[in-house]
Amino acid sequence: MSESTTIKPLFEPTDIFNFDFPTPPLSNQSTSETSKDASTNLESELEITRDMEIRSRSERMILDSPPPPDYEEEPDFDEDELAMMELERETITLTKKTTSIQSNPFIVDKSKGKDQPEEFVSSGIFEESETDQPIASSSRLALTPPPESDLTPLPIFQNHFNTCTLPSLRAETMQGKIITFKRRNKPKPSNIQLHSKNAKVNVGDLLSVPLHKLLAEVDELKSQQEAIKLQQKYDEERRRAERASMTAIKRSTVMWVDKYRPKQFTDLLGEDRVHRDVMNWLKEWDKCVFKRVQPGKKRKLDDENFIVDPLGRPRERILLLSGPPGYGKTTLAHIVARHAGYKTLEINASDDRLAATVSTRIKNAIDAGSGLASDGKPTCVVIDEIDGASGGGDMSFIRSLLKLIQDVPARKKSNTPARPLRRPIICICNDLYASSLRPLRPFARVIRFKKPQSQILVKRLREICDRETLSADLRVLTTLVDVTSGDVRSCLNTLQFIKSKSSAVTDEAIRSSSVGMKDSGTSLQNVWNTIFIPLAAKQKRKAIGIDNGRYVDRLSFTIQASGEYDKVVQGLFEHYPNVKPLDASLGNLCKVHDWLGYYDHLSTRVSESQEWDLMGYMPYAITAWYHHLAAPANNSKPTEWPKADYEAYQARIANEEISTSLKNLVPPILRSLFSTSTLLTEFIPLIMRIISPPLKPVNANIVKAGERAILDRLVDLMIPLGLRFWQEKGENGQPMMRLEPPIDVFVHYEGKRADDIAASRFAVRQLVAQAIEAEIARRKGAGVEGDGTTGSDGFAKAYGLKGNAGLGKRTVDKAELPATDFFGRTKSINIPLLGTESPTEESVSTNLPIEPPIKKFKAIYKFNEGSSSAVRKSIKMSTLM
Amino acid sequence: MSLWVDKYRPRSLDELHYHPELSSRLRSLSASGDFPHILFYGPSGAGKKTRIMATLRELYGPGVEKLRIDQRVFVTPSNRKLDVNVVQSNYHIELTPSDVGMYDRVVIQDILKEIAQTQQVDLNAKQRFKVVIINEADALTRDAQAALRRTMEKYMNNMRLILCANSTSKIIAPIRSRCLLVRVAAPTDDEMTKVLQHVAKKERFGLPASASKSILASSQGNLRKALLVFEAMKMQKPDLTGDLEVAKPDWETYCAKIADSILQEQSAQKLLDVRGKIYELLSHCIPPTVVLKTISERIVDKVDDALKPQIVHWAAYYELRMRMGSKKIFHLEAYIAKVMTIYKQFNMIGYTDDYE
Repeated sequence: MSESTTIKPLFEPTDIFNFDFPTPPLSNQSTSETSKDASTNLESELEITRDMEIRSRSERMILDSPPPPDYEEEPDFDEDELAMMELERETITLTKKTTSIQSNPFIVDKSKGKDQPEEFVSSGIFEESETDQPIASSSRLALTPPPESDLTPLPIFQNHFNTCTLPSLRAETMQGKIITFKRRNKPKPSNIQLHSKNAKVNVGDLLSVPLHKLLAEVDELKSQQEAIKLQQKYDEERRRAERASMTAIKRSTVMWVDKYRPKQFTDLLGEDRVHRDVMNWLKEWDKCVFKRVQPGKKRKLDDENFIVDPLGRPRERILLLSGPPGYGKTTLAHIVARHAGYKTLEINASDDRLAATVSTRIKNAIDAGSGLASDGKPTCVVIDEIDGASGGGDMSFIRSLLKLIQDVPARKKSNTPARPLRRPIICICNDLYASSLRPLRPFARVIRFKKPQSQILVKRLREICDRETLSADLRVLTTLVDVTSGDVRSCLNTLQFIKSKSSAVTDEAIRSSSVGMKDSGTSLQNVWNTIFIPLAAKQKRKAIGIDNGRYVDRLSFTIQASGEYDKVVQGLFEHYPNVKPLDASLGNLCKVHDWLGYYDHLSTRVSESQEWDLMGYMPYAITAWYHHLAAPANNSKPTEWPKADYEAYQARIANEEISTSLKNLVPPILRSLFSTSTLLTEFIPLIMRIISPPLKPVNANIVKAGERAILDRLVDLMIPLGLRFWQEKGENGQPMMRLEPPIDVFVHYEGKRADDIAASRFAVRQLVAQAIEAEIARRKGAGVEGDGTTGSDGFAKAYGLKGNAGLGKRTVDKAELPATDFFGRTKSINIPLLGTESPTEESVSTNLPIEPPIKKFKAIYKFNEGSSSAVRKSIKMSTLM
Repeated sequence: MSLWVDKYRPRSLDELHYHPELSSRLRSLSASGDFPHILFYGPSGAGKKTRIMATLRELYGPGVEKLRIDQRVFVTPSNRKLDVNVVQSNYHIELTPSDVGMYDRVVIQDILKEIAQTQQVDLNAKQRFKVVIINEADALTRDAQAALRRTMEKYMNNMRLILCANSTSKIIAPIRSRCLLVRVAAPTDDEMTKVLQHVAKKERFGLPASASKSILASSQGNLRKALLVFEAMKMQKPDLTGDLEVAKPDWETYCAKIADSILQEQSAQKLLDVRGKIYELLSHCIPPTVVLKTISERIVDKVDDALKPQIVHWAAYYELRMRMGSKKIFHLEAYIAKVMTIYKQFNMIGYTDDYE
């Protein structure tokens, strides 16, 4: 701990150990010799310094005061530098000594001292050294190696430059000698330091390290340098290669999609089963095309086919491949066709697809191939993107294709049998349920493509990346596959795009190049969910590029993708009251409604004044809901398809029709008095009350005088208004009297009739209906006798004009007519008005034979049961009597 | 025999029961030979239409009462055919824009031009011009109103317009300035009682004061409605004594029910419930503005005075939005949500001054 103890071994044992210094077998002799000299040199030098110090003792005494506060740091650092300097300067002289010191257990390794430089100072050794440490302590200390005060103080004595203004440090040896350590300024960190560093590496450390280790280090260094060189070379090569490949890409415009298109069956990605199915189907044609029987287990199936088809064709003569874009349908078709020994003729959306195409191109190709002509291979027709062949002229394409596969003769008249289809046709579509494909589906074997397994796809992408020297890790590629939802083509395109910019695939690169890539088909359900349910943490991580905790872009994008804003809003509107986070004060509800109103305003402007510019803002009005309504809990209540609005709309339309029909029945003056809205709000509800007076259901003949008046009034009212009761069978088979037009729907809310309208019973209505019929008949008669005697002339007119239509429909086997003879020939006194109507057969039999009203009444017979005219027939009175 | 509303409708200006000064002015206008375009406005059931018909009779004689309904076909710019029934006599024609929907401009233009370009055929006619009556003129779209402007001046020789509206506020200023504005105020209670008594007398029965009072209370200055209610009452209870039940349209009862349930509970569930009821009203073809008005009137009746101005404020606010938008249910529900919010807030903290 104390300076003296540590210093003592510095001087004394050095000599001792000098002799013991074991020459390492690998070290050369000269070093050891020079080190010996150095040790003697050192001795003398030390003496000199000692003398010098003694001379300056007087100063020292003064300077024994504690060092200034900043002192603590400086010497520490100084020591460090100093040590390096010394090492550099006196490498050779010190080598031996230091080595010996190193082997001395008392002396701590230099590097260690460097590691704990503070201790040298903070322990305040230089002051404490004044107190004469007992020798014994040294022995004690010897057990625990002192951490500080190594050989470094020693070289200080050599140090005669750069004297510092700071006070020197004093130390005392074991013999009581006082040694002063002069302080120096911090050396400038110029080349010296650099040197010292080198020195440290080369020499300082070397001293403390066994030689074999050193040698190993040297070897390592060498190999490192070698490695660096190699690395540089490699980098260079790589750069060159990259440059080469870049230029290669620039030069060759080959798309990766084409470059890495599977060349053979085994290369195909995706489900093997699908590939095999396609292959099997094509192989089933072998019998027909190549006249050879497919060897294999499918024998039985083939036999069935033989029975069905004499030519040995498969039952479905057309293959329909369906699946989303980029799954490899076209590739599969071509490869399978080639493998099965066909050459392919592809017809896709770029060709014009008319019915003529079928007869010319396809038939020609097939016929030409039938003789195994051209290059000796039969033709397999691949019709790509067939679902695009819809509408107008294209529809005939599908139709003529159907004819082709159904072996329908080209011309109906001709007796020549149709030339049967002898070659396979493969159709490819994205949307299997496109309306244009409907006729084709029953005749086709449908094979659906599924998403290729992402691991396989990722593996393939990885291989391609490797080959293109594009560094990509699996995770990134997996994301890419997820984003494109397995679309191999867009995966490859994206990779190629990234490759053109950088040599590594990163998340950002994918993000920047794939945003908006897939915008097809967001279902409405999805859109509703995205607004009501925030992303789960996992999804959030997965969402590429569109979610950084910000929802606006993500949502508005989704809404835009769905396209059906009105449907989206309708669904949201109908569902939102079921949603969880509606707060108790309903505050967010009003906010939501503000946005809804805004949305409606926008959409009205768009639809009514065609301001399409505003359409761009509509998704944002919907997006704003998210902030107020989204909560994870909404997951439990899925949004249902909105139907309330449509139901209400339909009900309204139906009711509007009823009111219109009433409007067309009422006399013009009422029509002009009551506008549409007042008709609905005032007229109908009140007229319903007016026409349902509290009548007792009794026989018309025994109605009391008071009720008789009401009944008459009612009849008077209902006839001009065109209101009638009309007998009908109810759903439960009960006969019921229905009001026509059925304006009673307007007093039924939620299926219930208003309280203040008396239930209009069947019997009452029947009574009224009979009275109306009687009155109509009477008026008719009166009209025959002399116009204008009944009622006010205005209404006679009204009745004559308007009531006729109703009358004609409703006077079914009316019997209050004076003419009781059903088959009595009419005297044709009928006014033309009555003659022209009479649409129903009943009225023909009853109304036509109107005789001039005879005022004496005869018996009335009525057959009124059932509404079916099938069981009604006219019979003679005699059969009843 | 017809409804009292029609039966006891005054046919001529002399028969009118109230607003005698208005009648005399109309009479002098018809006599002057320089009959202007007229815009009649006033509340529903005040007698606008009756006065129009009476004026026409004054102009043309009783022939104008011979109404017929013609079906006309119009072709819209988008080549859709519209069948429209028009009420007309030899001397005039009536149009109701709500029959035509959004194509009112086409119909108005066609009919006006046709009439304007043909001279009066009937040589015996008292006037050389024909009259076009436009009912519910405030329901005309802006386009249609604009289409009227020029025709009103250009074809003044052959045609006069009579517009009939509840309020002038929805009629554009250029049209207002081309018309003589005639306001027909709703009859006072006394005037209405007089009319009711007149009807009762003609029908030869006595009308008890209590009955007439309850009729007046329920009809609120709407004489047409009062007469219908009167007739319904007479039909239900011929002797008009005892406990009289005033017939009230069902939708009004229903609206009141909605208003009550709004005040009863304020929650999202209630809102959903109310929505169903509003759909029910709308599907019964009750105009949304009427629904809004009726509900808010009922609410205003029931809430604290401090809340009343706000309820009305928001009713106006959402009615405007309803007119600007197209989905009525959105705005009706928004209004109800707003009312629920402020009502709830008021009940919880005792005040609310939230106009924004």
